[in-house]
Amino acid sequence: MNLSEFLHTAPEFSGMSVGDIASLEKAMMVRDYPDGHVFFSEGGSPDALYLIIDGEVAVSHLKGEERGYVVIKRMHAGEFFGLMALIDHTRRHASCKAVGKVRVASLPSTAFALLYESNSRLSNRFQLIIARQLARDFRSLVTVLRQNIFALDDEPINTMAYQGPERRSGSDRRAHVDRRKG
Amino acid sequence: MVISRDDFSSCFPDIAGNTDDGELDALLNALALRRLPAGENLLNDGDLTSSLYLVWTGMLVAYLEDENVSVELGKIHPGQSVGEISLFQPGPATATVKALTDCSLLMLPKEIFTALAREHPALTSKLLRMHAKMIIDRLNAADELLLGAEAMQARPGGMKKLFARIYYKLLGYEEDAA
Repeated sequence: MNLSEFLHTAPEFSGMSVGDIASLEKAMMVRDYPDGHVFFSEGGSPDALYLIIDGEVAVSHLKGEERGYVVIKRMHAGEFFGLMALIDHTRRHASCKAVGKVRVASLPSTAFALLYESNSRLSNRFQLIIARQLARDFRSLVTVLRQNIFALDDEPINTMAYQGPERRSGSDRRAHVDRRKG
Repeated sequence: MVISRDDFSSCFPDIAGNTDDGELDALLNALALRRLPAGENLLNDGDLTSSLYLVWTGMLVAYLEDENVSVELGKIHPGQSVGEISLFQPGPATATVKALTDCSLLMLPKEIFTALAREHPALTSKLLRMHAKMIIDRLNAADELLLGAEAMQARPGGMKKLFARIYYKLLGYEEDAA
C-alpha cells in the first residue's frame, strides 16, 4: 500500500481532509526496511517521527547490564513511533527495530515541529491524531496496571514483555508491567 | 459561564498561562457548570465517558472497582481535572470518582471541544499540546516508579500499593493519599 492510499483509508486519519492528507504526504518519506533495521537507539537524538504503513516494529528498553534490552512493545500499521522524545525535546527513551520487512513513512523532526507547534487547522487535526496515540498508550498502561492491582496478592512482578491489550491472548492477560515508549 | 478570567486563572494557572484573553473567554463560554452533591458519583469505573471535568470547588475521591474489590486511589481537589484522556479519545472511565463534599465542576464535553476546534483552532491546538505533554509527563513519572518496582517485591503488599500509586499518578493527582 502506498502512503496516499494508507492515509486515506487508515481510521487514525479519518478526520483529515484531502488537502490535509496531501500536505502530510508531501512532508513524509516512505521506505521499506529489512528485518532487524534499527530506526533509532535509546539515548539518541530524535531526528524524525515514524508511521508504520505495513509490518511490525519492536520497541525495547535497556533494563540494566544484566538484563540488557527488553522488548516492551510491538507496534503495527497505523501507529506512530518516536513520538515522545520529539514532543518532550529529550533523547530517545527507547530503541526501535524492524521485525521482518516493514514499510515506514518518516516525518523529519523539523517538519514535525512546524506542523506540531503551529495553531492552524491542519496542525489541529495532526495534534489530535498525536494526542489520540498518546491516549491509547495511556489507556494500555492503565489496563495493565489495573490488572496488576486486582490480581496481585504480594506476587512478584512479572516482567514479560507487554504487547498491547488488543493483541494478547487470554493466558497472557495478566501481570505485564513493562511498558512502551517511543 | 459566570466565572471571571481572574478566578479561573487562579484555580487553573496552567491553562490560563497558555491562552490569551480571547481564547480564555472562548473556553470559559464553552465550559458548563455542573454541581454534584456529596455522595454522588461523577464517573463510574468502566463506563463510557467523553468529557473533561475541571474541579472548581469541593473534594472528590477516586477509586478502582472490580466485582467485589474496591481500591482507593486518592483525593481530587480544586484545580485538578478528571477525564482529560476521554476528551479526545472517548473510552471507559479509568476510575470511579465520587464527590466527598458538595462539588462544582466545569465540564467540557467532546462535542463542544470539537466545535471549539472549528471556531478557535489556536485554542484547541494549545489545549492538545498541553494534554500531549501532560500525558508524556505522566507516562514518564509512571516509568520512573516502575523502575523502582523490583525493590518493592520483598515488601508484603508492596507491589499492589506501588501499582495503585502509579495508577493514581497516571491520573495526574498528588501523592498525598495514594
